[in-house]
Amino acid sequence: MSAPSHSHNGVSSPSTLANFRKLLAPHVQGYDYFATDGVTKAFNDVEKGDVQIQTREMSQKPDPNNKPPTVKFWYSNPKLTPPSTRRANKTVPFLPKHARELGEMYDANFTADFHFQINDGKTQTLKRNLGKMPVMVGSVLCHTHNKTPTQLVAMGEEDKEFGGCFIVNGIERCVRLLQVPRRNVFQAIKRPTYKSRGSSYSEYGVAIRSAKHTEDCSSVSNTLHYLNSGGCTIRFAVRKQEFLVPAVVLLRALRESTDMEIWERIVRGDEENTFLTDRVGLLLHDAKQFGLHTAEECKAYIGARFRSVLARSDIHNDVDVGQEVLDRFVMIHCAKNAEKAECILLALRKLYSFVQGDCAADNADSMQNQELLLPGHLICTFVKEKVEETIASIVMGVRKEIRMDYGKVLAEYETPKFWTRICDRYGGGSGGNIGKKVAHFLSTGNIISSTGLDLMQVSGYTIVAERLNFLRYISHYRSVHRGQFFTTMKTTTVRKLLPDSWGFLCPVHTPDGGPCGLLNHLATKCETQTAPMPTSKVKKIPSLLVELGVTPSSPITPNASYDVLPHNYLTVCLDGKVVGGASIVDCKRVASTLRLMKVNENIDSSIEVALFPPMEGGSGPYPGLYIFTGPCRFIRPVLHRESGKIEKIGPMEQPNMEIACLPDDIRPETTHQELDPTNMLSLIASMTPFSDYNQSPRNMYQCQMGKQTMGTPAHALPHRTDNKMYKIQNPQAPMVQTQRHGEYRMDDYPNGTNAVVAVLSYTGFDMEDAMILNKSAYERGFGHASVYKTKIIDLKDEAERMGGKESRLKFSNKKLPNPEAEAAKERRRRRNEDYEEEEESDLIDPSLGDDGLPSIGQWVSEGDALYSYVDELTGKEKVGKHKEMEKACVQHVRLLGSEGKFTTGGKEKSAGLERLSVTLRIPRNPVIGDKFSSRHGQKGVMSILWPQIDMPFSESGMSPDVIINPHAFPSRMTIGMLIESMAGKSGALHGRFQDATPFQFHETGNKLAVDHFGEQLQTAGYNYYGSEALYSGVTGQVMHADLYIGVVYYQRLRHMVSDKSQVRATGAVNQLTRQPIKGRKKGGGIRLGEMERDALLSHGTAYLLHDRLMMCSDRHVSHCCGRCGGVLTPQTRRNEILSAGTSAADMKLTMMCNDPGCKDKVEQVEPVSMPYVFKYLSYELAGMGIKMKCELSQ
Amino acid sequence: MPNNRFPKLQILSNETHTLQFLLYDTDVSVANTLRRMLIADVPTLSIDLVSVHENTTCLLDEYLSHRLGLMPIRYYDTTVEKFGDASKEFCEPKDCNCEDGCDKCWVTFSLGVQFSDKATDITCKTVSVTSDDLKTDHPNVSMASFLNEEEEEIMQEDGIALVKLAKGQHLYLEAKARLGCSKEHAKWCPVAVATYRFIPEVYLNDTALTQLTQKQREQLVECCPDQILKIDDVTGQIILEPDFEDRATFTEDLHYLQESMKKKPEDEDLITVKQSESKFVFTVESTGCMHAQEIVRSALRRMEEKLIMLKGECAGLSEGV
Repeated sequence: MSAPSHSHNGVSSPSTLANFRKLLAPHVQGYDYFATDGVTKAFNDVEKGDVQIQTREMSQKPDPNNKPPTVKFWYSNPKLTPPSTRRANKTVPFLPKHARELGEMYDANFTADFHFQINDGKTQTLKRNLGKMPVMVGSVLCHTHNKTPTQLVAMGEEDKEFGGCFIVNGIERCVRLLQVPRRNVFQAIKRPTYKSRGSSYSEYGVAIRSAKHTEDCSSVSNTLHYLNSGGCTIRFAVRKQEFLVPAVVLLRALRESTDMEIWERIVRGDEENTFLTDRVGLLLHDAKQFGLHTAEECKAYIGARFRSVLARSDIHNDVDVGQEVLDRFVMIHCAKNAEKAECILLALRKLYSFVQGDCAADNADSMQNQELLLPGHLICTFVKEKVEETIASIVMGVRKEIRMDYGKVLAEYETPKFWTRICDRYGGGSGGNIGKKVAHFLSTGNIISSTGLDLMQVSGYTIVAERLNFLRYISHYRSVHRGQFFTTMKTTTVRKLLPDSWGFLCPVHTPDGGPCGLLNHLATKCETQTAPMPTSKVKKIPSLLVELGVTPSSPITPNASYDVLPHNYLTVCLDGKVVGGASIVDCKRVASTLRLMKVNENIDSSIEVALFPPMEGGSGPYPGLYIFTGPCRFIRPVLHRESGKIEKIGPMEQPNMEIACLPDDIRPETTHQELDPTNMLSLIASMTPFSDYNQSPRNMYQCQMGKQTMGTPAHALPHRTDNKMYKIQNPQAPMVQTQRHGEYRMDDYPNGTNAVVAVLSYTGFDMEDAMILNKSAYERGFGHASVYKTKIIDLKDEAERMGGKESRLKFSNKKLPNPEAEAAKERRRRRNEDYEEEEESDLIDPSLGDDGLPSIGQWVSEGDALYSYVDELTGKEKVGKHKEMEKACVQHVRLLGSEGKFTTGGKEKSAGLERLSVTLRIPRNPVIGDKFSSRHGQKGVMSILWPQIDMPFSESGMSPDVIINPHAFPSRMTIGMLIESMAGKSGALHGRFQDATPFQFHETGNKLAVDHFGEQLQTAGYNYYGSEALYSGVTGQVMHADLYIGVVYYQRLRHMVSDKSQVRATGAVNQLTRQPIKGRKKGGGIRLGEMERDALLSHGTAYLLHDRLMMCSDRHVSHCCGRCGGVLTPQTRRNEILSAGTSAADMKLTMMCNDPGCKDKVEQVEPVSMPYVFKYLSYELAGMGIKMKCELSQ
Repeated sequence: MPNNRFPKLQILSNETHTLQFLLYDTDVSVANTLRRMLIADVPTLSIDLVSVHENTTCLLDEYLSHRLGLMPIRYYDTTVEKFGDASKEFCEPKDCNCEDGCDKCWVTFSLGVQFSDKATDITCKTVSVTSDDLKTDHPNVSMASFLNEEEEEIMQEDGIALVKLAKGQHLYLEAKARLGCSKEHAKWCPVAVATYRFIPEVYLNDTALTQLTQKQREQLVECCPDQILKIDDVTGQIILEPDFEDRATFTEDLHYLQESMKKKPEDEDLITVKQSESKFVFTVESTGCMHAQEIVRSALRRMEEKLIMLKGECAGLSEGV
């Protein structure tokens, strides 16, 4: 590596941006799909609403001669237009930077056509506004879409703004990627909870997450339950309620079929399998009880039962409703009834095989059976549901109008005006319009849904994409969560790292602790299929399969009769639809042919071909050939050795493929090879130099710490309004860096400094992971950093806080004539003749400008004015103060809004310039106790700034910047850090960047890393192993041992003492108990708890305890009656006897006990000091009628 | 030669900014004291107070101030006609008799640059503000510049770059420099490098060395990263490189290797590299604020002052004051 990887021409190259855009594809392209195709498909798939214009009485007594008019209505043609705003009566583009700086939502206009049709007459169309749809930055709707780095910079963005976030109230939020069950594949599941569904239910089931064939991204889960009686029911959820329907009833409703046909198509000639034949017999026998024979009867039976839950009116008969249930809830990945039936038959076969033990349960935690839930697709299904809800609420609305005034509705219902009104009044529902609901989802992460959307969780979908540093920011978009449900699970099986996730999820980059194994990160080269394959291409595949030798099953053959494939044929499925079957040999041939065609791009290269051959003794999954073209699948590139081309493989096919990692691993049966062994690492994990030399947990720690480093968060700082940002002022490109570091130009966002590190035990200040920092290095700028904080001050909130809604606040520093103050002054003047008029400034605060705003570059300390405003009505003025203890510099001041009224985000914003956004910069140079770390999970706190003259020095006169203790190494085994030190040293000596990509050196290879860098060091005249003779800076003598000294890249972590130090003498107390409150922000104390108390007791430090628990806590001097022992009864009493000459003010107050027994007795009330809670306790006891007595003694 | 209190100094090389000399007939405490004085006790001028009037550059006020502080400032000592000890004319404000700053304690620099002042043509995107833009009225004080013409030629700027200005940006500030020493802050440090090393004393045990195989001898020669040994072409024996004194680094490589070559552990060493206890080679490299020679002089003067003070104190002690 000879050249640094940073860019030279000011902005990054478009290819780097393309690299990042590829990483972000699951977010951006997923949203693109929603914004282009998805939303239209979703709208088209919504059932039309219908309403009869009749009163309840009319519907109860239908008049056959006078049918009431029926109106059908629906939405179509949704349109999203790029964000824009109106300024000076012109529509101008609304850029992401505007949304950020204004603290608003980045959203697009969302409109659709509303159609209504009366009695099958002419359709009338209205254009309706559906609110503002939040727009993902970087998506097709965004102005930054496909822009070059130079254009992006011109728009006030980062040169590498790859998007992926939504801007909600000026804050960037991103939708988490979720691991969900793979769509359109049957999973054999054994789950004890299945038994709880009913008395005869077993723990066996086969489940499918069926995704709609119209590709609107919605899905429905169907589960086939095995009953101990041998039968089977199919479960699905409608509006969050679960329903169980006998499989045979569904089968028959889907396809006119005899018992014989069902028998033959399940058993498929395997008559010898008595287990199977017995159960299929029972299955058919059980179904007899319903007495349903034809498809019509079955549909009517189903329809009658689902009518109420689907809220279908009498316009639809039972058969229609039955068909609707089949269409919307049963195997929805198949369009046709016959295909659905074929799927259920396959599921039944799998279920019986599973129960019999011929195939194993599928592991739901394996990536084989998982896919990603993409943000765009989630929003798509959400929007679809909201359209359905809108239609339903319009139906309810019309009915309500009829109830209120039938005549008026009857007169108006044919006019567009009526429907415009209905649409706008009822179309929104309770939570506002559709756009608003999506915005709410994004800002809270909570899904409010009537159907549940086939999801496992209702909250936690979105997170703030913190821009702490670039690593943290990018890792938000590459993180994949397993689901909130699993975080509460006690078993750790879901958290396990399975071999199935090789190459897709990074084994290193997962947090330790709570979310360990549940929050994973995508490997760098792992991609996601974001959009479905074009239908035209998918349609060709079944016929291709038949050509290749697959025997088609019934639905493909046009005739009404059915074919039965032999039972030893493996099922061939395409996206969960049964295409046919073929023998094992044929399947293998078909699979390999398809793979070749895929590699040679004769068919689409995104196809996944997973062949599961039968395994001995039922140890493997249910055999079959499964082909997938659908979206949301994980894919990753590997080398197809035969052709030398790159093939993209999926997690379902991977376990049955022969992929070598390194050339050494190649065996005769190997077909594929990894492109690069580092492809299994996530972007963050592949930044760790020589990570292959470290003990694995250390690499995990580095992934965590890399994300907590104060680095370079952004370059477009003037346009950023993040709540908190950390920036180091003297960042450097690491001298030792990996290839991927260069590939992604990470030097544009450097996170640390190359430090000269000596490993020795010196002064004792480097014990226990502390590190010594060279004072001169610190003074020359090592670790210097600043924190940027942005605050928004909204005068509307301030007005509410002031209580008066009548107020009219304005930022200003000019005092207004205040009638009250003038009057007071006048009074004073009248009372006091020689009252001197004070020279009063007409400014509220002299440090602020006339506009009531601070000036840029001004320093503010605690209590200094930050802004001031006046109430134009009352003349009251107020100064907003800098509340933090630290001194800060005003970096930016933004006055938000515009003169006059304007609208954004669908709502009217405050008139005038009522919002202020101030960015403050707080310098945070290292102080003792601040945290630093190398890139190898070796963190430590700076314990002292040691003078340079006292630091050890080498013969060349160098003294280390950092000294760490050698004890940091033996137990942690971070050999990577030692090698980095050598590499950095030789890099510095030879003036070149060093390649630290893991897996470059191998212990069997011809050169070890140590030798590689050792030789470089030796040629530079240094010790082979990187050690040097150091002289003590104090005595000047050579130290006895050679010391390891080299150059290591050091990061400064964001955990700083100044954010954590907590100290208190006196301060805020709890009102009730008068004990100190907790919390650093409120000036509270740190709890001295029971265990601490015990420790102090055991040391016999009574005085200290007394000080802590009483004097510094809730000491209270209370009066206690020595006679009755009450602490509550003593009261002050005024001396009643007045002697002449004493004024009332001089009268003494005496303490007397109010207890009836003590009244008028000799005074015995004494002041006693006690914890206030003690008194509180006696109050509480008194409340229960118990008197607490204290015995006083001297 | 411990306790020798009559050290001698021999100059090995003397350039404007680097000085090498041999200190001998003394012990390590004196050498280390000199090193420590060179780094931490030589007074120099450095910017300590910056008033930023207007700053529209991309860098922050405190960042610019920090950079300004680190820029070396020269004082031209007319008595020696060299860049030398500024304490001859200036004193630290805390020691000054004046109340709130005078010409003896502060030197004021001013800087005022805007893009249009420096932009040479319209294609120019950025201009650099350098140390040359800092102007002062003091005749003997200036910002440090390049060491020689050669260096000046390869540099793109005319001085030490402070910040780059883009179109429309400007920077107006006033900076005050004062005397200080590096004990307080590293910006007052006059040296980039001030170090010494012991002169090595190498003893070859010829009788033992002759018994080694040729391969072992080669190993011994190769293992030294400082290349102090070589094999005589004629005799095949290990001999010392002629300039071994300049290069020996006292690493342990040789020690470990010969341990493995000995037949018995108690055998005599084949090659011993010892540190001379009375000879020290000093290297002093200036940051540019003073001539290297003047730094050493100033350090020695400071040392003398301190010793005189110590002597006075000691005398006081013995008198029982």
